[in-house]
Amino acid sequence: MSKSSGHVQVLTANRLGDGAVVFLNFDGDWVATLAGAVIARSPDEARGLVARGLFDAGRNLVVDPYLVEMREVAGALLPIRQRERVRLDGPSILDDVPGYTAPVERPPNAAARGAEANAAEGAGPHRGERLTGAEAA
Amino acid sequence: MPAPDARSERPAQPSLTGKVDPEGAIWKEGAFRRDPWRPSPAGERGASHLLLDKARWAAERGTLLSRPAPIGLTLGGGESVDDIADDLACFALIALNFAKFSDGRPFSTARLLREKFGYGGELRAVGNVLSDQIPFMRRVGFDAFEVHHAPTRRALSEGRIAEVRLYYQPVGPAPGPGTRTWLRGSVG
Amino acid sequence: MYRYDEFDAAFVRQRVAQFRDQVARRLSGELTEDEFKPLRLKNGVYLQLHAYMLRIAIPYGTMSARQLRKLAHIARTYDRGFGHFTTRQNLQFNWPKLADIPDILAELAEVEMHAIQTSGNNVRNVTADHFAGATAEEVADPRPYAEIIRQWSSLHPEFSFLPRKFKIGITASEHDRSAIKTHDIGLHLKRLGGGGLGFAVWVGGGQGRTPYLAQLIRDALPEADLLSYLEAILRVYNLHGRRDNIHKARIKILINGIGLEAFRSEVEAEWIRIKDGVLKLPEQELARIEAYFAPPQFAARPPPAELRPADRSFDRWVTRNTHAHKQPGYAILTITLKPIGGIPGDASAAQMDAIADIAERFSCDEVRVSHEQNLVLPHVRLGDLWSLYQELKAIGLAEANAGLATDIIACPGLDYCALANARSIPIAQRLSARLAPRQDLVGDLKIKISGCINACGHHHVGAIGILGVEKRGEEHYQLLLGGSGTEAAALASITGPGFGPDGIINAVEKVVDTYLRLRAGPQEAFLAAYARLGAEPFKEAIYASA
Repeated sequence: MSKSSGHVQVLTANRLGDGAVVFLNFDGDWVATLAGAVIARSPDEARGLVARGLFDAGRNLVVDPYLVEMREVAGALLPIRQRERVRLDGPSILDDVPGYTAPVERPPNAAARGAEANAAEGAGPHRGERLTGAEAA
Repeated sequence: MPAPDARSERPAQPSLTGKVDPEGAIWKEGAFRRDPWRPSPAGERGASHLLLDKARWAAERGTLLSRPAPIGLTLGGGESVDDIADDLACFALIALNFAKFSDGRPFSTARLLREKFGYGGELRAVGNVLSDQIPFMRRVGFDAFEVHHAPTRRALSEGRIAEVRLYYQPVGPAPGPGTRTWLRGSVG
Repeated sequence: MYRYDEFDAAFVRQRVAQFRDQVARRLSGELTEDEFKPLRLKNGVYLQLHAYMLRIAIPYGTMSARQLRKLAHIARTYDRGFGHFTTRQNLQFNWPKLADIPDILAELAEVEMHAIQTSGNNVRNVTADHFAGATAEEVADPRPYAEIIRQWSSLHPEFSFLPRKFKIGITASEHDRSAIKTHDIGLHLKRLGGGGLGFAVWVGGGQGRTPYLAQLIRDALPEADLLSYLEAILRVYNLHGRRDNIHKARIKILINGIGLEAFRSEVEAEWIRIKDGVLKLPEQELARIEAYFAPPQFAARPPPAELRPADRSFDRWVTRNTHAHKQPGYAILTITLKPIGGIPGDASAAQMDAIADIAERFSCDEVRVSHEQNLVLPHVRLGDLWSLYQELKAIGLAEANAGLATDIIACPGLDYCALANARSIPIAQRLSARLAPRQDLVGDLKIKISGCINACGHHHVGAIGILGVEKRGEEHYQLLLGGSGTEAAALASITGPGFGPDGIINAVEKVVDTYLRLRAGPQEAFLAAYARLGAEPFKEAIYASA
C-alpha cells in the first residue's frame, strides 16, 4: 500500500458457509458489499485489519482473509487489480451462461454472524447469495 | 549397510505397552497410555530402554547390539529402511514421523516395513497425527499413535473416528477374505 | 457400463457419512481450515473466487441418462441452473453451499455417482477415449481397465497423500483421443506379441508451469500385471517425489531429475517383488468387469434413412459431428457444447434433461463426456440422425463444429477460479464469433485457452494455445502455436511478447489468415502447414506493425 499513491486497503474474505465474497464493515460484520467497508489508510491500520481477519477466521466466520488494494474515486472504492474487480463484481459472463438462474436477494440486514448463522444458511437446498458489490462502483 | 559378520544376533524384541492413562500421549490397543519410551541424549547408556534416530544407530550399533535393553528407532519421512533391513528385529519400536499431515511418505515406509521386511514390533505414527488419517495409518500397519491434537484425542477416546470400513485394495501381509482378494475386503 | 453392487453402494454411502461428519466438524470449528482443506479436496470441494465449487466424477466420461438427469436436478436444486463439463471428463458446479454438499453427495450416491478424489494429492479420475466401446479403431474397450484402476485407487491408504495430484489416461486406438502423453501415467492398450492384451506404459507427462510429454517406461506390460506395475510406480513416486515445492512435486519433475533409466530401475526392482502377489489380475475378474461393458443390443438391420429434402445444414452437421462406428448402420455423434459466441462446456439443467431423454431413446441410454468439453452419443442409428438433429437444434446444441476453430477448449478462468490470472471465457467467446464465418474453410483447428499456468485449458497442446497472465494488475495473454495431444504429441511454442484482450483476438486472426494464405491447399490442415512452414511466417504476421 502506498500512502502517496492514494491507495487504501479493505479486508476481504470468503464466508465459510457458502464461500461468498465478503468485506469487513465498520460494525465488525462481514457483508457482501463494499458499502461501509472499513478502510485502512496506514500500515498500522492495515495490520489491525489483518489481525481482525485472522481472528474471525479462527472464529469460523470466514476463510482466507486478505487485504485488497483499492483506489478511492469520487467517494467510491475501486479495486486496483483486475482479479479483484472480477471478484467484486462476480463472473463477467453470467448473461451468456445457459440456464443461469440468479439467486434470491438476501434481506440487507441479515449479515453473517457466528457459526450458527453459517450452519443455518446451509440447511437444506435453496438459492445462493447474490453479491451486491455493484453498489460500490 | 552392516557388514555380514556384524549381522544382528539379537532375538526379536517384544513391543512395550505403557500403562493406561487418559492423559497419556500414546493411543495403542484401544486406550491412551503412558509412553514407555523416551528420546535419549547422545552418549547416554544408563537408561533402561533407548529411542534413537538412524544416525545414532549407525554410529553406535556395535556397542548397542550387546545391550539387552529394548531399542527403538525413529525415522523421518524421507529416511529409507533398505539399509537397515537386516537390523529390524533389533527394534522393539519403530516410530515414523509425519512432519506434516500431508506428508504421505511414511504410509509407504510402513508397508515396506510390514510387508517387505516382515517387521513385527510396534509401528508408531508420530508427528502430525489427525483423526482423518488414522484409518489409513491402521491399514498400512501402524498399531500405535502419538496424538496431541485435542479433537483427535477426543474422537479416539469416544470411538468416533469417521471412516469408510470397506476397502477396494488389499493392503497388509495377508490378503483379506473373499474370492476377490486382490480387490475387496472390509475392516474388522 | 459398470453397475454398483452392494459393496460399491455401501462404499459411497459410508464416504458420504464420513464427509458429512467432517463438514459438521468444520462448521463447528473443531477442524480448522488448514485441517479441513485436504479433506474437502478429497471430495472434490474447492473454494473458488466467488463460492465453493464441487467437481463430480464421471468415471472415464461415461454416464447413463438417469445419472445425467440427477446432475440436472442438482443444478436446479442446489446450484444456479447449469453445470460445466471439464477437460478431465468431470462436471463442475460453481455455487454449492458447504453445508449442502453432503446432501448433494447423498443424492449422487443414489445414482452411483460420487466426487471422491476429483481433487487432492491422490489418483484423480482415470480418463479414457470418449469413443471407447463404439469405434472400430480400438483393439478392445479400454474402460474395464479404467474401472479396475478406479476401484483400486479409491481411498488407497498408501497413496492418499502423494506429493501432488496424479492423473492417469488410457487409450486403445493408434489415434490417441485421450492425450495419454500429457498424463502422469498414460496407458495404451494393445495386442502383445503372444496375442494377449497388454499396455505400453508412459510416465511423466503433465502440463502446468513446466510441461512435459510422457516417456515410454515399458512397452509391453501384460494386462494381468497392470495394478502391480501401477503400484510400483506410485510407491516410488510417493517416496521420492519432491515435497518442498508445490510447483516441482509432480512425477514429471522426479523423472526429469533422476532420469528415466534410474526411475525405471527403481520401479522395476519394486515391481519384481510384488508382481506375482495379490495384485495380479485373475482372468475371471477381468472377464467379470468386462461383462459390464458389453456392447448394447444393436439392431441387426436398422431402418434405412428416410427420404427427405436436401438440407445443407444437416449434411454439414453429419459430416462434421459424426464418426464411424464399428457396427454397420450406426454412428458416433458428438454434441459440441460450443455454441457460436457461447461458453465452452456449459450446459443448462434443461439441456441436460433433454440430452438424457435423447440418450435414452437414441443412444442405448449412454452418453459420454470428452476432455474437449463436449458430449458424445456413442451408439446412434444412422436412420435416427435426422430426428436427432431436430431435437438438438431445439435445445441450441446442433452446432456443426466438432474439431473446428470454434470448438474451443477453455478453462473457467478468472471469472470463476481463484487460481486464475486472466479471464479465458470471454476470449473464447470473442474468438468463436470472429472465426465462425470461416471455420469450414479453415478446417480442423484446436484452440485451447488457460487462464493461468496451471494449464487446465491444456493450452500447451493446442494447435493454437493461449495462456492468460497478469501484467501490472491487468489481463495479458501469451500466444503459443503448434501443440498437439494426439499420438503425435507436441508442446506448443510461444510466439513472442504477449497481448492485451483485444490484441490476442487480432493475433489469432492473423495466424488463421497466414495459414489460409500459405497452406498447400485445403487438404493441408493447420498443424501440417505449421510443421512445414515453421513459426517464422506466423510470427511475422502477428508482430508486423499495424
